[in-house]
Amino acid sequence: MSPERDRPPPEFSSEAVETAEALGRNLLLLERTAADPDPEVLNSVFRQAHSLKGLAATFGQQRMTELAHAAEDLLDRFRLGKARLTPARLDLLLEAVELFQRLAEEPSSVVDEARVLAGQLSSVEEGPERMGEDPLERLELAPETRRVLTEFEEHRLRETLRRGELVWSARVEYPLETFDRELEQLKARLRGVGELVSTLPGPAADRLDVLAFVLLLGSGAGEGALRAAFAGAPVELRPVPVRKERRPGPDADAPRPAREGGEAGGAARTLRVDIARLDALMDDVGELRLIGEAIRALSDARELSTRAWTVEILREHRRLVRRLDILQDRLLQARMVPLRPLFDRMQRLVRRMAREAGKEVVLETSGAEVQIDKRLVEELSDPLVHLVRNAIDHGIEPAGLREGRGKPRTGRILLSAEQLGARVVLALADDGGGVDWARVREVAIQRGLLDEERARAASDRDLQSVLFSPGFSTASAVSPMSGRGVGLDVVKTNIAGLSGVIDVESRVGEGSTFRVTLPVTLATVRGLLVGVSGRVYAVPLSSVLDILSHDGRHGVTEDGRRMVPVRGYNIPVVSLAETFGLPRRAEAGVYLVVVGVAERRLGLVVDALHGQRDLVTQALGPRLGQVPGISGAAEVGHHHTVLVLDVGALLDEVLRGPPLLVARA
Amino acid sequence: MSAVPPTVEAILARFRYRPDEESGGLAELSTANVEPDRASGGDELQLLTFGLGKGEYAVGLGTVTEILRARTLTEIPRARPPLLGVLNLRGTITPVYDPSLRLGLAGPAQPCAGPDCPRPARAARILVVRTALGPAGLWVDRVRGVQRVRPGALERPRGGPTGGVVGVLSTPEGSCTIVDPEWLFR
Repeated sequence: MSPERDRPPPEFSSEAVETAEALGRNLLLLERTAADPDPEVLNSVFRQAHSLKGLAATFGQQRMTELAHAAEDLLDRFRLGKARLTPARLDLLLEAVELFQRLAEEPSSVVDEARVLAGQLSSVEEGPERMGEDPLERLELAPETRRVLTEFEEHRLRETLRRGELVWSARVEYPLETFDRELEQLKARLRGVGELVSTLPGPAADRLDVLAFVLLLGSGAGEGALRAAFAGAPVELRPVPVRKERRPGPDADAPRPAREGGEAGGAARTLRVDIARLDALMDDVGELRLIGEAIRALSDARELSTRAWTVEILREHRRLVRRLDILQDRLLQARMVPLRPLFDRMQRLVRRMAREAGKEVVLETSGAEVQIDKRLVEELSDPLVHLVRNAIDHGIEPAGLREGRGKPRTGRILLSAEQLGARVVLALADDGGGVDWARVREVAIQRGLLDEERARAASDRDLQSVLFSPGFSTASAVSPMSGRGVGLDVVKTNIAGLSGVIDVESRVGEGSTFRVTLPVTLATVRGLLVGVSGRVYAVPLSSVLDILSHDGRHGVTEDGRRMVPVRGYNIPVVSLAETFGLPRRAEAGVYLVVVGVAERRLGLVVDALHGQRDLVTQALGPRLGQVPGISGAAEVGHHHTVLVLDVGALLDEVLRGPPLLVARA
Repeated sequence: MSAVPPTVEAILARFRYRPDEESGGLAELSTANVEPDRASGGDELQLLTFGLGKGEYAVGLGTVTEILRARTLTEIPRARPPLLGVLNLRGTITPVYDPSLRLGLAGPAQPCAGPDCPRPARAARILVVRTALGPAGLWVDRVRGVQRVRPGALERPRGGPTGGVVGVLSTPEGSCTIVDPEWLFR
């Protein structure tokens, strides 16, 4: 075998990652019914492992082929009842899912792990074969039927009998043209009342335009319910007799709940786009070509008067702008993906981390269907992993301690997403020990992050910024305490890089909620253009809460902050001209733009408002790096570049203020 | 097929006085594309000379990707010298620096960014230089031209380059200081 190349081709990676994700989702589904795994889910997991193997083999990815083969093999044994699906074995498979994803993107990084895991998967011992007589022998199936049953089907029939249910045989006929659709629909209906074990070709029908099938069903439901599921289709239905009479028990399984979780898209470097969306984009391009053609025609329309010509040009311009708007919208839509794959990854992560930490933790999610920009999903992963790890390592207490505190043994983490206008708010809430603010205060003083007087006066909210500051988080001595500051500065920086902000709400003993607020898309930002001392800046509209006229009156707090009452609250205000050190102008400060993130508010005093614009923002680039208060730049009109304000950073700067934070470690 | 080396005039014609300053397509004017003069052994240096105040300076032509007519920049709040501001170069935010500070030239840097600055002088140019951290601009009072010199004609500072000064070129018209552009941004 040739050595693997470092980076497999992207078409392989994206498909492998997607398949692995779907596989992981199904494994988690299996976990809920571990004692009696849903055969259909088990089957699809098996199929997914199989297609992963095929895919890997096609692309010459030897390690992945071996690992997928081992996983497939084990799943096959579960499927056939030759081995029991235990939580430990499920863990092994979930670990394989993680490795598949890494192998898909950077095979060289995990070669050894893959080999070790493949070995573990293959060494899972056969479950003790149930002793005693084979119940299948008692089932009076026609010998020609018995002969064609697969090993899997036999296993399912055995399971049916073990549960004390009946095996039914049904003969149906469907027209040649529609039989496949009819069969699918029938299968869907039968799902509620029993298990369709086998679909066999039936004895030849009298007519040539129909196909006959014999179905074998396992069911604890009565004949009436089964007939209803056939929905009036002509059917010969009879129970397959069992020798040595054994009545079906009344404790038959309740109908299986509907299956959840489709095979939705994945999160890799590449993006799958619905072909219909691409078609619509193509149409837009066609329309733009027409406009281009019309403009070219106008260039030699000499018969037109200047005035008429101007009118025509303006008309084409309007068409052009309208079409560009549509095109932009469609492109943005095409970039949107649901959060589900990301949430699924967190599920697997929580399982693994909780096990490693020896804690009992469940992760509940809501809002997985919320869609955000593809790039945001990618960039969000690391910070989220960090927060989840923090919650498990430092938040959730060990089960014993939790019981002592009168909490349920199992810790609970809730990961939720919600779209609010142009923003998405992701919240990670745990019911663990919470942040000990008094301890944070002490550490901040010890480490010289705050002077003592300020620290005593600081509210918990003020202390938040300490929690997220680098000087605090590098203090390893803090982590074993209830302090939750490990690496939070990194999380904050990452989130800020996505034009997002993070804040935390926490009470000792009750838990913490980290809230990340992000724009729905990064590609364009709707901005409010404000004038300050003759300069123009853009404020992302997603963080603008209010625009008021301002007469310059304000109160001053003891520590020198200016406050203005806004709708019943006193909020701090700051003159953008002063903050940025710009010369004052006569028309200074007539508007107050109230910006806010989570519960923090700040009033920006500006001179003028220049309306709203969709801005294509650009980073300031590596040479300039971080410019305090500025997140990027955007071009508005010919050669006119405006800077986009970093609202989160301004809030930090003004609310924390250089005077509060006296030093940085 | 022997390539005829472009004349200095031809090179400058491509740099200067474009109807639209965002001329683009000048990247190919790196040393790689300007054939070395075979007659002189092929190892001669090509320098772009420019003026700041009364002094004459030069940088290697190979690092300069574009010469723009100076225009009002977008000011970066609380920027420290030598950073003057930024301009949007076909979608890339490009910081522009004032080289005079590093070169120890007297005279306050004229405001070049924001609404309060005067119209840039007619002769003023921005040299866009390729750097490891992306493009960066140098605001200069005027561009003189391309100078081809043999390395031997340079007076090099003893013991290697000092600061950013690579060498000095003496010509009948006066001397010209050759600098490392990266040093000017610091």
